[in-house]
Amino acid sequence: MLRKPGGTTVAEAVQRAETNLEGLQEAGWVQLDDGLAAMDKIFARYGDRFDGDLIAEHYGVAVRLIGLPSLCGLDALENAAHSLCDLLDRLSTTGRWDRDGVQVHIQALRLLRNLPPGADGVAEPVLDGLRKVRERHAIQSSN
Amino acid sequence: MALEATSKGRFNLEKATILMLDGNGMGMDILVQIVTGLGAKSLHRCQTVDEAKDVVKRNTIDLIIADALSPAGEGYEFVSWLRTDGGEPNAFAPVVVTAAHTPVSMVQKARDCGAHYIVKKPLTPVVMLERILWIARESRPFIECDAYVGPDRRHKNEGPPNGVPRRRDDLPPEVGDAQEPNLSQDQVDGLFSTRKVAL
Repeated sequence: MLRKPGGTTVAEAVQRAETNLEGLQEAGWVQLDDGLAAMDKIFARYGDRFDGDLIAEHYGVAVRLIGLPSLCGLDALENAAHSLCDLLDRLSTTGRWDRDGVQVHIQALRLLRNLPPGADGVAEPVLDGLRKVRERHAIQSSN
Repeated sequence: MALEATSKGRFNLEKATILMLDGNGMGMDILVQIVTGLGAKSLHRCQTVDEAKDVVKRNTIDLIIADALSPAGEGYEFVSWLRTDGGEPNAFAPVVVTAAHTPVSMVQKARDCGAHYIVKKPLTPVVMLERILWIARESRPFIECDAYVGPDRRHKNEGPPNGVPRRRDDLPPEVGDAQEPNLSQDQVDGLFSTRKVAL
């Protein structure tokens, strides 16, 4: 089917798809900010003890963020969102609670969301910090 | 080798009927913009597994792009259902599963659901197109057994791990005695050199 006459070139198709995605950016920013606000509210509800239900709820919100930062050109924020999902999944599996580790992620998300253009140099140390949190929980991820 | 975004190679998705499953509105919008940009025109958009099953029962589908629907992983269950109860020909349709994040508890389900490929989000047009083209060139046999239905999960022919029995259609490990004389060195060399042949 792919080989039928007509069609398009890879270059044209990819360019067209990328242009289409640019049209979603405005809505993407709104959903991204709503998602980050929801994460702040959930974090405010954590106590000092492991709460499996709240972590599951938090994971559900974090998973829905995936893809939005990238749509808005915020690759470092995308990595941080993945890192948070890794951490929440690990905490949920082990039953351990790491409030500081989650807090560092929430703060990183905010920082990376608000980085001014051209401030990419700030992102790497932030992501490195998140990597160290994941290493504490022996999480291997592709980020 | 990764697909080059600037490649002038041609392909045609205009006649393909594509089913897309994603419970997240923006996730679906992103997928639609990618797939229409790649040239597809006939799309079935489904927000729930029940909607997707209904589409499968009523239409012939050329390609399925189904989100895993984390965290519960219902997308994987949909693909498993497709492979066992989707009816022909849809049960054999190419399937790409997209996943924002796969929790540890879902890794085995993801591996065994019967998808051709799992693509991690964020989705990009070039990666999605690459997977579609890979599927078009697919040479893995389709496996049907009690525990699994779908494309052979082995991408490399490395043989079974130690202690695991061989499959029925694997070649026997023993090599028997030669039944014909060996080729001479000249005959072997002749296989590698071009020569005229009278047809």
